[in-house]
Amino acid sequence: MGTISRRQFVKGAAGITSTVFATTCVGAPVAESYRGRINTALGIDTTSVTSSGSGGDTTYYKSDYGTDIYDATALQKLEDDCAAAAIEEVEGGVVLLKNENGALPLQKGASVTLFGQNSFENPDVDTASMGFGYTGPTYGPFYSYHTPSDTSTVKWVTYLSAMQEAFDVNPTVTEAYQTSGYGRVKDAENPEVGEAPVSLLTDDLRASWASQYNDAAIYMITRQGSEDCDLVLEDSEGISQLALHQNEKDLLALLQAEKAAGTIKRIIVLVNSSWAVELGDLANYDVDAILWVGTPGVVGFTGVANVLDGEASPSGKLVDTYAKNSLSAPAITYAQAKNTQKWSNLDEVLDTCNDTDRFVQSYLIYAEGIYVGYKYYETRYEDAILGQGNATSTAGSSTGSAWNYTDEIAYPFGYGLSYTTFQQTLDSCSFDSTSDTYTLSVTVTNTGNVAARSVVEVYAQTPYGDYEKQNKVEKSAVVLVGFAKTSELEPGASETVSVEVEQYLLASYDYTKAKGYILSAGTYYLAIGDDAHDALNNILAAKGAKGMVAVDGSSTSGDASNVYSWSTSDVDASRYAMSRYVDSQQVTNCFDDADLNNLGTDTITYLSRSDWDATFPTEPVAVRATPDMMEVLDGNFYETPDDAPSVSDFTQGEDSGITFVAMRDVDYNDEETWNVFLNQLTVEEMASILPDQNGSVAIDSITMPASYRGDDMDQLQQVVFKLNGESGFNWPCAIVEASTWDIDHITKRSNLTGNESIFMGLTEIWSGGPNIHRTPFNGRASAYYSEDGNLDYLIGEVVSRECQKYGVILGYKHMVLNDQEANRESAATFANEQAIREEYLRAFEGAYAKGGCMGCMTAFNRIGVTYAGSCSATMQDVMRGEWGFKGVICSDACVGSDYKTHYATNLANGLDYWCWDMAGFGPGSDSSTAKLSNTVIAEDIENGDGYLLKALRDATKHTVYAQVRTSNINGLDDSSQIVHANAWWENAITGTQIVSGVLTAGLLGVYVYDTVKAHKAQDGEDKKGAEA
Amino acid sequence: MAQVKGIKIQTAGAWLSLVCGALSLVTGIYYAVAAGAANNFTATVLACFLLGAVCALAYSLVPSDWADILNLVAVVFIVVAILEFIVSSIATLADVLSGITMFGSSGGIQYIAITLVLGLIALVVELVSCFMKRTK
Repeated sequence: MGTISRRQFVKGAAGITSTVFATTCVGAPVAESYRGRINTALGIDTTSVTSSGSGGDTTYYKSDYGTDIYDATALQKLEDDCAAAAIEEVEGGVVLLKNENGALPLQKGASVTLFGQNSFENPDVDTASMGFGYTGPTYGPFYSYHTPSDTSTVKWVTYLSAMQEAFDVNPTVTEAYQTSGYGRVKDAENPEVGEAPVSLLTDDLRASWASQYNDAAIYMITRQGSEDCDLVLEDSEGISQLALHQNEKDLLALLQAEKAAGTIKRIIVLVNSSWAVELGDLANYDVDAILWVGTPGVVGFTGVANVLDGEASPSGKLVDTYAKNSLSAPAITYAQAKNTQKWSNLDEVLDTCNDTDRFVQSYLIYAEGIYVGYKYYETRYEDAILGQGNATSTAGSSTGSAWNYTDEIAYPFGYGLSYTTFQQTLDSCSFDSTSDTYTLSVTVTNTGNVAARSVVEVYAQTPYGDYEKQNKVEKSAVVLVGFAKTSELEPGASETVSVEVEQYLLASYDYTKAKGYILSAGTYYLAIGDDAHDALNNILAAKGAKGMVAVDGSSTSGDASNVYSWSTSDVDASRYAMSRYVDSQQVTNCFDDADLNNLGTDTITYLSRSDWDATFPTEPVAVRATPDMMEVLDGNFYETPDDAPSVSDFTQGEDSGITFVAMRDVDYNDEETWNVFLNQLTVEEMASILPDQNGSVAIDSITMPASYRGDDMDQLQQVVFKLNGESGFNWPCAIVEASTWDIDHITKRSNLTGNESIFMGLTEIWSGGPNIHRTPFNGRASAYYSEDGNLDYLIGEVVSRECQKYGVILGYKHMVLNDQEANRESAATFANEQAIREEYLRAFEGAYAKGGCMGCMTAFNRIGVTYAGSCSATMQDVMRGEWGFKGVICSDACVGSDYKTHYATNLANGLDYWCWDMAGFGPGSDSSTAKLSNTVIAEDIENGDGYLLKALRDATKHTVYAQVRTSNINGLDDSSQIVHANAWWENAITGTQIVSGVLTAGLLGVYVYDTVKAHKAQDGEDKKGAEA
Repeated sequence: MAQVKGIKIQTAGAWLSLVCGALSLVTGIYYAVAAGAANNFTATVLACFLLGAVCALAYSLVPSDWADILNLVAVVFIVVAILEFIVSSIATLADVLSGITMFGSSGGIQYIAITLVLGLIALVVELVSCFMKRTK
């Protein structure tokens, strides 16, 4: 081989430097496109604010933990308070479903064996990724990037460590599970529940609990979904993922046998799932106690242990219906990947639409109407008891026999036991016409012998008469309308609580005749009860019905004394004809286009209690997309209106000296001031804040700092603590929070999250919450409060108000009808307006119309065939029109997908900015061009579209109005200026590009010089040789 | 050294470039088929792989002194091909890395991994050849 000549060395070196040079040349534009995301990931701020400090105290939004967000002691105190609150939340949010023979609580230090593969982390497995494929309990939340171990300032408490702290845990079985090699597998189409076969428990292992560790067998059943990964209707065992699987049944049978043999004293089942597992079969295995623990976050298992050993008495109530058969709900007919439909004329749709095929092909129909969760099961129960509506037909029956409540329901909505017993008495009910509310006074007495808290649940039944039947106004037999939770009551102690019920929640939306809300004519009932079913039985008792059954199937007569009723003689269509929140704003149909029956194509029969048998959805309807539907499906349907203003009608770039911070107290309706303010900005400046990458850029001319946005109320991530670059506290999932039914706690948690946001400089939290659990299979259900629109309405108001008062925008998502992860991108979603308003919009209404929530993220799906980010019905008509929403609305993550980035259409219909608006680089048609929203909108306006300029000014106003009410204005005064800096990685790329480019050029020069020189030398030698 | 169709391949450097050329050709063809099936085909990527292959093969097979620079040119083409391929596959890579489908995946990760491995091997081989003589 010999030594390398200089010329070869130079060429090789040039190869390396040119490789580096090419990499920087190709990579730099990509990195630039993702600049915001990269900076967020690295925790880099590229803008800062300088000020002379002459403005006095400019800390407009103060943390409860001091004003120095770099104070490590203060931050640790905040995080410790979060941890303490989380443990309290779990203690008050776990739900005791069964407790026979005083099985619980256990004695502290009891000798127990923990069973179930999902109870244990495998110490040899990397815990950094935690999610699917991770063996262990589910802690939540379930974004792909969320992990319990991300919370650096609070020590992660595993289930095992919490149990070892409270009990004497069998180490032999623990080690066997830890080293078994079994675990959950991430596979959206064929997930595994992750339970080990019972053969793992060999005779040697069984001997370990023969003489000790047998005070209790504690078996934890686990289910897991996640973002983009629903639970499935049918898995590899041919059953619902929520059903008990064979390995689980085998283990339960083993425990049952051990108990029968006298080896194990009691069997306790923990349900570690945010999804309603089918628990009915547990009755076959002599289980003594069942405790739903949900997904309790980074320290929550301490709270679980506290409940198990009696340090705390459980007081949570279910916020979902736990059906014995998770497939029995009518919504299942159009749900999840298996039952999502494709257009019957799919080829025509694909040929017609320009957007990517998979973004225009699927649809869902909410044929169940309002009958979701308990509203279906309890309404059908009432009709079965009263012998009406063919309720006992076999349609929808899990057994194939006549429909029967006891066959269908394991635990109803609102259900939950305690270690004590309570007596709840309805003392009085009064109506205040001024506030339009009923107030119920309820006395709660602890009739047992353990101190505990009690939840007072108030349900309503409104009339279902001829008017309703004729005009397709459906009525749930019971609807949750209010609740309250007592303080901790000592044995024998009583407390009287007041529960306010808005009459508005008794109204029904009539989308066919009144085209607005009505108060029906007939008899109204307000009832308290231990749960939805108990309250309904009380109402049925008040109606004089017979033959009622309790949750366990036993006969009951209900308690009419816990019911308040009154009657009206006429349908009242005027009371709520106008908005409750905005003067002179009519409330009327906005979603006719989302109802398939209005679109001139195949029609749908919605489920009606007038005839359960004839209307229960059994087979999906094949739907043909019409040309009009395809035009909207294709997404780019904006056309400049004929009466649009011209660009010259507006003044831009006229400095009036009004800074961003000066707008902090300007009323939204002060049009004159807002116009003067907006006139200062150029089109380019306004457009610059349209694209988001976990924040938007600063606007120097008005000293508006850059904004910072990230997920989620269950754990603040993406944007991190300024002090240490770490994520926020990892809370129990939203369902556990809701299951506390404790407004005081929800207030505390919201306050703590608001405080965290200040320590991060976070200006907007994109967060789940109000979407309801249409089915128990939604992979993202853990981020949404409940199956009930009204409960979400009541919670959302509190969370919004209590979080935002610390100067952060709560951007609730996903607006709206976004109720599954399968086909979440772009599925067309059809529903009637009653269901949309009373269930899906109601869940958001409390936050926006009453709680002052200032942010909103639209969904990936379509409302009807209209992409949610282009749906003026939700964004303009309902949110801004009826609810008086003044904040900012963004899309869900765009990331270059074509159907999400019809920018002009989005903007014209009410969108204010685009989340993760980053260029698509792929060649496929699903990638947008490198032109982002700011460029496209500015070009359209430059081409003379005055309508878009008006829309851009509106979007800017919305953004500024919301941003100027955040902690982003802290430190701003009249002397403030924005200072820009490059991120270190940008400088590194530029430097590397220059150095490698110069080196390449130099090395090539040397190479050419050497080559020419060698040739000349060779020519000389050749010449000499020839002469010789 | 061996002789290919009358052309003498005299050094290891020339052989390496020949291997690189063959690999680039195979990679380009594989890419065209797989990316086409995944609806993720970019002409630039294929063109660069093929031009890289031509240069690498010419370096080995064309008996001209001026062809001595062609393996360096091949390096540039192959680098650009790989980089453009990565950029065009960002959506799929993002989906895989984040564990969710949201960024616009086109096809699976397998063909991306195979294409990258083949391309990187070709690149490294050609870089090594740049440090070596083409002729004795």
